[in-house]
Amino acid sequence: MYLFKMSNFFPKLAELVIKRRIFFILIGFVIAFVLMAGAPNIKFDTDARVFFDENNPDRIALENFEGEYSKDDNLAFVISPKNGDIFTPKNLNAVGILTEKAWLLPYVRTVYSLTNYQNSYADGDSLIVEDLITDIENISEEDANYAEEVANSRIELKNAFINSDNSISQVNILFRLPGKDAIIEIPYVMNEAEILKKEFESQFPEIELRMVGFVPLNNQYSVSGQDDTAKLTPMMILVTLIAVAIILRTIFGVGLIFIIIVLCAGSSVGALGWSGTNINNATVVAPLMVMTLAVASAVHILSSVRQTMTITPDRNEWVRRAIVDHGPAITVACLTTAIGFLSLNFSISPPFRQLGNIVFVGVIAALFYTLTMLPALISLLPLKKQNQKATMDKSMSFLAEFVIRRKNSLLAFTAALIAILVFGISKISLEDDFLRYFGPEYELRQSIDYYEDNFAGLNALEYSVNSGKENGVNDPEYLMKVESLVNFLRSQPNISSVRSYTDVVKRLNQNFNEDDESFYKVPNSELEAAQYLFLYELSLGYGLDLTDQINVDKSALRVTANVSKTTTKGFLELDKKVQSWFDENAPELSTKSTGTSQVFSKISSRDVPAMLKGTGLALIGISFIILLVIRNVKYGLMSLIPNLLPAAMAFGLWGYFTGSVTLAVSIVVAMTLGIVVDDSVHFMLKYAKARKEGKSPEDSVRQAFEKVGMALTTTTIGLFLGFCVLAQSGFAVNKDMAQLTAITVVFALVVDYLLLPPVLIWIDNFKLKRKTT
Amino acid sequence: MKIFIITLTSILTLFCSQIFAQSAEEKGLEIIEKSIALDNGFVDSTVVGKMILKDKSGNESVRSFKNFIFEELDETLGDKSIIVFTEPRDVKGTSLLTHANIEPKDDDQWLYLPALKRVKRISSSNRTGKFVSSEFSYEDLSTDEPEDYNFLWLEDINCPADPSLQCHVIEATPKNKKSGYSKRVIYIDVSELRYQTVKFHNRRGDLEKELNFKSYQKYLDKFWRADLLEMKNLQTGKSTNITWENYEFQTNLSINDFNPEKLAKMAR
Repeated sequence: MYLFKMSNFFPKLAELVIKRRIFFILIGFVIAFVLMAGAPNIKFDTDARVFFDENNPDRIALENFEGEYSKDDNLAFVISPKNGDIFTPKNLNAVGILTEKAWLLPYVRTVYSLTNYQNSYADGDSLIVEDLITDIENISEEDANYAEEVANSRIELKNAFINSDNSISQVNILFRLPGKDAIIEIPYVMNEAEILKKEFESQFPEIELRMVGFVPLNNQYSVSGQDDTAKLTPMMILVTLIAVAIILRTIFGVGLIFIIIVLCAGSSVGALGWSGTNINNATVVAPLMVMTLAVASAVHILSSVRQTMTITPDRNEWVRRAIVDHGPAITVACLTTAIGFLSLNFSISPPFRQLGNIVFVGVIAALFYTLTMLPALISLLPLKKQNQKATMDKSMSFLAEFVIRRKNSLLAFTAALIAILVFGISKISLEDDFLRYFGPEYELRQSIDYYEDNFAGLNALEYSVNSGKENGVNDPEYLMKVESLVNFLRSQPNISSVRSYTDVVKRLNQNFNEDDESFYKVPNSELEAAQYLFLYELSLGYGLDLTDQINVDKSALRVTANVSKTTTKGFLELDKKVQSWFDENAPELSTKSTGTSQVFSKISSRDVPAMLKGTGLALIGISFIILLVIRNVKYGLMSLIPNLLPAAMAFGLWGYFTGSVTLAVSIVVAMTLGIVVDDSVHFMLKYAKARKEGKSPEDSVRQAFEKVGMALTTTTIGLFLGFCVLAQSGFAVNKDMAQLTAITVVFALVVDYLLLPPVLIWIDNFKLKRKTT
Repeated sequence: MKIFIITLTSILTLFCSQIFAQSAEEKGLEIIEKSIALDNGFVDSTVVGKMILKDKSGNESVRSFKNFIFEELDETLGDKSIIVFTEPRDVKGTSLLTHANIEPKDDDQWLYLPALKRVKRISSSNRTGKFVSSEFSYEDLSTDEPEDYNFLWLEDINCPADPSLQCHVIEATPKNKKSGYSKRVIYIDVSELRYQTVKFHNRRGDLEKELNFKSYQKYLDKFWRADLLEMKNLQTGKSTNITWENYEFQTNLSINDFNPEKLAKMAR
């Protein structure tokens, strides 16, 4: 035997399994059920921030910012009257009613709307600060016209509470969630918001109402996670079983595989439950991945049985051969896959680490069940002996002949193909628009797209501009600098609106000077500015304050720029522009941007280097296992080719056709490495074995194809289909990951069939020739 | 016959109890009216107030001010008051003059900003807004006008802040839809009819804030004043304490001192 020192481990295992089959079946079920008992503890996370680790520096910066100002857990009702004009008495009344009712939602901190906009103006000797619409029950045509005039002249309202053509408005509700249990709080708020929405829609059928904001977005995280489970699980089981049925042509085999994959997936989910971690959008696909990977292992056993049964009717012999012939390869395959997934622990994003660990448990479970329970079941159940060879076996010898005959042209062709494909990697851009992680089939996504198409940007660049001293926000010099920052931001084409206290203080200066427009500027003295601020705070309406605009000791102002329709790259470039504005105009005020959008826009570029490290280590670990198994440095090194190229090719293809990729990008290589390595290991082992038996390189290739070709094709098809199912996920990160993996798996087979054999033949013949000369 | 007498007696009993028993609404109103009436005749008062605002993490900021109050004897008008801020430094001298009116008429208010040396009349429809960013709103700081609320006596229990006292528990529901509260639950001690605790329920109906009146002292042998007002926002964890010092009564303030033209002078 060519394996380990434990070369007699598998024959012994085979005997043990045959002898104690009942025990292995029972113990398999017991282990699975104990693990699965943890599953009921699992809850769905409702927080976009699960992707940010506690010590992600961007998250820390964001949380500091939120501590200083406020956390924008918001829900915005987007109001689109069908007549296309917000400023009619009836529509303004609707906005007012919605504003008042919004105050009654749970955990509300503040409601901002067009009607409760704090309109300040001079009236003779009086200074008025009041709601734009003071009495929503009695709005005259005149009031509506006045509101229109005011709203269109206030830069802080345009593109924030009314869109460019006055056809859409919004009521923005800010919540103060207790934060004790987001899993309960967010759906609770959403549920009441939905009720309010329905009420409003029946009261004002001529107005369309949509919801956007962080609260619906966070809620979507749990909704679409559950959707994914409900939609993908049956699909996955069905596709897998049909594929297995077609390939193996045995119904019992299908039944057995069903049992195995359910136990594996159940065990992995159960382990998650026991660990006390919540499930989230990324980890929700983990059990499905486990199913796919478990099938790959189980198919090896079954296809071996399928081959043996044409030779002998002795069931125990089927099992023995399956374990002895395929046990080592299955073990290696599962271990390498497990290592690949384990390396996800290097990701900076907790869901990926959890994903890695869940699949790790699942794969180890798969290894155990396939080598013990599955053979035990086979030896027990009435699997019918078949005499006909499966068709796949025949086509394998055709393929082998083809590859050997055309080895030179194949070598050239695949090399060229790889070169072209790999070049495509340069076309990939990292794109983490967390607003669009969810597919267009979701209502929220439609609302977000509608909002950005017709209203303003939802992604925001946030800056806390610090004056460096207490009460420094009243310093005119500082205020003027912030004002010019605001003006600079407003001049950027992608920025739809900017919010800053400077607009308020300028307006107050004008109001205090009998609305003389020449006073629409920063006040002359610090005392004036301080007293305007005091006056304004004294005059604000119900629940309104400036705490989310000015920090507690009044040393810093918040400047929020909403950015619409831009890519992650564009978003970061915009920030760069702002940074260089600071450098040129106010280096002492320079501050880094923050905000949820910012943290997401950086997460991929932070995770890629982290996962490169993880992937490197996985590669070393996996190569070590390969070396241990193949016991041949030359073949071990050569195995790197078919293991690393497929992912590179997949990324290249992605670059040509899609271009942008989410956070998923960082984990795909490590994930697929462990999966695709199986193919090459199986192939190389058989090849090396044949060579050792003294066969020529060509004959060795023939033998490798004959022995494992069918199994490799089968598992690849299974994996490809499995990941195609996962690619149906409504969550972009899962979708990207699954699609990239599916492509990688196929490329792996292509490389193993079309590139590896010619290379092996070429190198070995070259050596032979050298020896003979 | 026996049955007839019993029936008659019970009918009479029922009838009499209908006459003499007070409804819970009436009882509530009566307690509040009595409590307010006890304060009549103080003429005027001055006091120094210090407001300490605390946020959840314990950061503090301070507002200090002097408060002048002139008792309005006309039942259809409210009292007149001036608040002169002395701290923070950059708003020193900023003064707010209020002529209270009975709802629904808004109070008349004037503001003096020393930086501009000008008095401006300001709008005061926002009675529900926060007073100088504290946990108090104007609404919380003004005296209850019985006409503005529906009162309901609930029960008599031990006062929550001081269990050695008995308290009337009265629910006050504002008639004005614009109030920031759906209701307030007022605890008034039985013996002296002083406000001990007020629980504020927000518009949604959830308990939002709790105000405790502490260290009551008697002035001029008649007027009870709490030296310490502790307001706690139960939802945000923020709190605002007001301490009152140097109460003076009947200091010969004249109604002319509460004239807007005089505000700049009073601010000094």
